[in-house]
Amino acid sequence: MGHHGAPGQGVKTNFEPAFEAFEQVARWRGFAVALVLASRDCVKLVNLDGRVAALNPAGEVLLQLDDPMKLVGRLWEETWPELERDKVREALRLAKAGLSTTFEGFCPTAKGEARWWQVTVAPIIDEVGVVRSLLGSSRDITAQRDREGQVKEALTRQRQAILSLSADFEESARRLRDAEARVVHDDKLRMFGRFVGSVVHDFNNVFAAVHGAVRLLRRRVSDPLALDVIGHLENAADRGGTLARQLLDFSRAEVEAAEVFSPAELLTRDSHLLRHIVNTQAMLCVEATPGCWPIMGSPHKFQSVVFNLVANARDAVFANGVITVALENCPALHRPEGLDAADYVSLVVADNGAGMAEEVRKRVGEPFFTTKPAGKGTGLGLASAFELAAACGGRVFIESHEGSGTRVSIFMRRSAVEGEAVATADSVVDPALHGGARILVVDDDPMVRSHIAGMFRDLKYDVVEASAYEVAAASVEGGKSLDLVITDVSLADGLGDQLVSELRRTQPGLPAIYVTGSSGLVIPRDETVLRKPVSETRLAATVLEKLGRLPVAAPELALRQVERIATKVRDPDMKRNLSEWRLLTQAGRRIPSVFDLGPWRQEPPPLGYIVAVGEGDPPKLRFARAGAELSARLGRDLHDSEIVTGDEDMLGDIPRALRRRLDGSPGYDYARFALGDGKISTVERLLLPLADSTGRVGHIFGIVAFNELASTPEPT
Amino acid sequence: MIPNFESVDLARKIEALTQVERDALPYGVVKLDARGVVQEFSATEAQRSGFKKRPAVGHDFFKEVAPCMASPEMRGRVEAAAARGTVDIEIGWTGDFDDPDREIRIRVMSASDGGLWLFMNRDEL
Repeated sequence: MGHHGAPGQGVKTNFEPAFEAFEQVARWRGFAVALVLASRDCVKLVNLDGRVAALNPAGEVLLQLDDPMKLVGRLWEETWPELERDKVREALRLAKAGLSTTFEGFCPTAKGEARWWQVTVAPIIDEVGVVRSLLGSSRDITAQRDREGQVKEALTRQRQAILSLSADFEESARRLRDAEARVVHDDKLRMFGRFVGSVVHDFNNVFAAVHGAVRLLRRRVSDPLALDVIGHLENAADRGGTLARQLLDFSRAEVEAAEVFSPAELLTRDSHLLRHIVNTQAMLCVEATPGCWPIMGSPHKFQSVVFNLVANARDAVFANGVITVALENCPALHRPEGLDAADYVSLVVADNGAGMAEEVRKRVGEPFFTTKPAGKGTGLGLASAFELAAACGGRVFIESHEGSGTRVSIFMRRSAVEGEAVATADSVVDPALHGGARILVVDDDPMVRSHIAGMFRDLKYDVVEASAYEVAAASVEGGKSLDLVITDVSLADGLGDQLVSELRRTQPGLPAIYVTGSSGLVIPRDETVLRKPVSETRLAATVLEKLGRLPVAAPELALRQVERIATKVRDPDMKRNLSEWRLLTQAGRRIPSVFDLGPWRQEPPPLGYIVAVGEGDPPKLRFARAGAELSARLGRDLHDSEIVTGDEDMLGDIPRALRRRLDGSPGYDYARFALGDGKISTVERLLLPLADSTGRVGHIFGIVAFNELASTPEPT
Repeated sequence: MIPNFESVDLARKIEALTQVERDALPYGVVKLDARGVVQEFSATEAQRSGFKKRPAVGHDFFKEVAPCMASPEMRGRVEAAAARGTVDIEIGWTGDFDDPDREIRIRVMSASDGGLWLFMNRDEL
């Protein structure tokens, strides 16, 4: 039926729209009721005052209501949790204004089960457009929401993971940047080191030349005033040479081959530099036992470890800070747990500063781990200590407590071999052993070359000089054969070792001595390398060694003798002296040096003495040092007294016993007195030969032991 | 039977032998009288010692042999022991000979007649 009836329906037509509207309304009402009843959503009729007027059956089920009348008449918003009420109020407000809206909200059921709802609030508008009431239709979206929640959660987790990855990445990038910066810094230092090295190299040559000139002058000048001036010059050149050497040692950045060195000597030498580092910030005590054993490693590494640790200590101490650097021997018996059975030298750097927290202590030793601000520390201090210890077959021990200071102990295995640092001042280089050989001296520095050449000409050698590789190679071609080459490691036009191998093609086995003044050069393997400035004594002795003119003590004989003596010695101290001597001889395949006596070199034990072996045939013997008790027993001061050769008699005399030691073997004798007076007295004497730096027996260490025990009367 | 060089009463055992037996011993025997003059020099000693020279032991023991023991007290003790006849001194050397593998031990013991016995044992190892 339409609004417009057929023509002729007149009056009827006036009512028709009203009827139609009514019918329509009635139909719509029925339709609406059916819709509400059939809906699976929770449908509520809400009055304009916001109170619930009616609820469909599905709503009863969804809301788990026992009695729907409990809901009817209540403000709809109050059935929602506090947090969601705003949404409800807003939706109702808009609906009252004629707008339909939808929101999602959380509202538990009457039985308390969690539900998420999608709620549509719509106005119910009458035929004239007035909002009469409101309709709320809520759909349960909990299941859907849960799935979304899981997805969201997963997304969140991934996002967090990505965030933390990117944070890690940023951290790594930052560390990389820091490391790069450090490398650049280190590179700069290294370049600076090389620069210093090259300058020092030149300095060395200057000092070597000054030395040579002074030596020449001294021989030709007799005026006492001039000699005095020459003395000053010599001292100055010595000091300069020492300084240069120290600078050179410090600029040496490359990994050095391990060598035997005396850590005590290095530490003593560097102690004033250490004081400079510590400045006035703390009191520095450096205690290097002069008799400290040599160790095998890189002297430069050792120095830098000491410097790093002292710098660490300086940064850790407060006012009244005390930093102790101590170096001492740690015999195998006293070694700490965890170290292989061997003798060690321990370096301890201790301070009374801030100490380290547990977590810091755990990380120390990691390269680049530092607690200091940028530019203050490289984080290589303790790491280098660990490296040093590892290289020396030892370990690092760190004791540190917050507030009570830090103590870093590095145990380095004792070297069984004596070092180059062995007292060269005592060396005896007999001029009679020199001369009569042809030596090629190659150095591109004319001052150094002429200095070395002059020295060996004075020693009656036939010296050929060359300034460079080419000249050297040419100068020997077709000429007389050489007996020895002394060359700088690096020549202006080539390397020293290339020259030597060139020469050895025509003269296989040609002995060579390399000298070097610069740092960072590749040192030829298995060759004798002397570092500038080289002392004349050292160079001369090395030449004799290379020419095979130095008798070397025979350790086999010596060791055989030791075994025999070891079964006889009774005095425990003497047993120990003997076994140390044996260990050193076995390990070094040559007898120990006077250096191995340690502090006894200056101050022998009360019953010990040191005999210096001099020139002549038979060699002159002189007590260089003697223990106080021994002098007292003999009733005269033995110090510096000549030992005169007595008549040989059947029981042997002291000079003869001493001279027997010149073959490198130890000697032992004893006397036991049982005189029937209730006491048995024994006297034992042990003589241990010691090599000088040239390998000859230069000293003899003697020790006497007296013991007395009560005897039971002998049966008669 | 050869008296053991180590025995506590070696002097008494040696005195019980004849001179021929003493000459046959593996170690050298020298007899000094109370004044330090050599009375007997065994064949073994003459052969082994190599230097065929009279020992000077009795004369300046402290100066030549054990200068470290040259204290008045020690001198006194040795002299008293010599007077009592209770001297028993043993001296040993290792590594003091041309042949480094040789070593020598000497025992100096009071003889019953107031003199001294010297027994020289060379170990060849």
